[in-house]
Amino acid sequence: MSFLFVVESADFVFLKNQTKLTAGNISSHMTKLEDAGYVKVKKSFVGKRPQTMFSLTAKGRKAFGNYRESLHSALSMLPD
Amino acid sequence: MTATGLSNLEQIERRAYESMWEDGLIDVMAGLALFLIGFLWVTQDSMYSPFVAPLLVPVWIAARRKISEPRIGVVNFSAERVAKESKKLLGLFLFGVLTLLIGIAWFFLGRHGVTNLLTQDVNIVAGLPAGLLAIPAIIVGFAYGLRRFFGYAAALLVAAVPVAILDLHPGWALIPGGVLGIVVGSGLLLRFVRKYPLSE
Repeated sequence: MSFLFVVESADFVFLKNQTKLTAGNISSHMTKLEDAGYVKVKKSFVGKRPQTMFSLTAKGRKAFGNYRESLHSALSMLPD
Repeated sequence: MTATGLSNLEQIERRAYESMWEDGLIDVMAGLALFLIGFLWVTQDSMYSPFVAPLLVPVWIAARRKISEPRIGVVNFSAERVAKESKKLLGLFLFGVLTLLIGIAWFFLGRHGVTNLLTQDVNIVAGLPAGLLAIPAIIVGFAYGLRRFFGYAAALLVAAVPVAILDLHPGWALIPGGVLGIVVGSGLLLRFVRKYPLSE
């Protein structure tokens, strides 16, 4: 989600390179995020090569922002 | 969602952006441009040199689509990043215009003998093109975080000195920088292709 949050959209290959996750892991994560309405998936072809572009929906961006705030609050309450 | 959501988002974005320049293609194209322009000047075919950059830009775009994008992927950066890059490009373009004006002014001053006072022992004019081109190389190094461009700038400046002292043709000062860009860029491209193999 972090990598998609900082860009407008990115394709499968870019996400795989940046996250160092396997193709299976990414597919699995993206399917769940798409089902939750957080990620939009667009499939097309560049020449003969398939391309899958991912982008966060407004709901996804809001959810990620809330998640960051929640974790930040939780961590700030931990003793030094 | 993982804990990486707490990572510095700016660092993630910057690393993603910098990874787009790992392929070395910009180095190869810039080096090729310098080499060809220098070669055309030296061989007295300088009238073709303005066509070099416009011809190489589509080659660079095609090479990125064919070689880099299938390996590194495709990303559309945020509107903020796009605006930032547009400002950098505008700055480089304005510098190019300024360089052109300086060259024209120097040419006309030279015709009136004004520059002779500065070129008694050293022909500064001979080293000027390479010296001026070193400046956008330094700007690119700072603006895009491509520190190797400082090396190209140094190569241009180092080549400009003997050309000025020995009063050689200015084109000779561009050729070493061009060769350096081609060699370094090719090495980066080879490393890039090995680091990012094509997925089946």
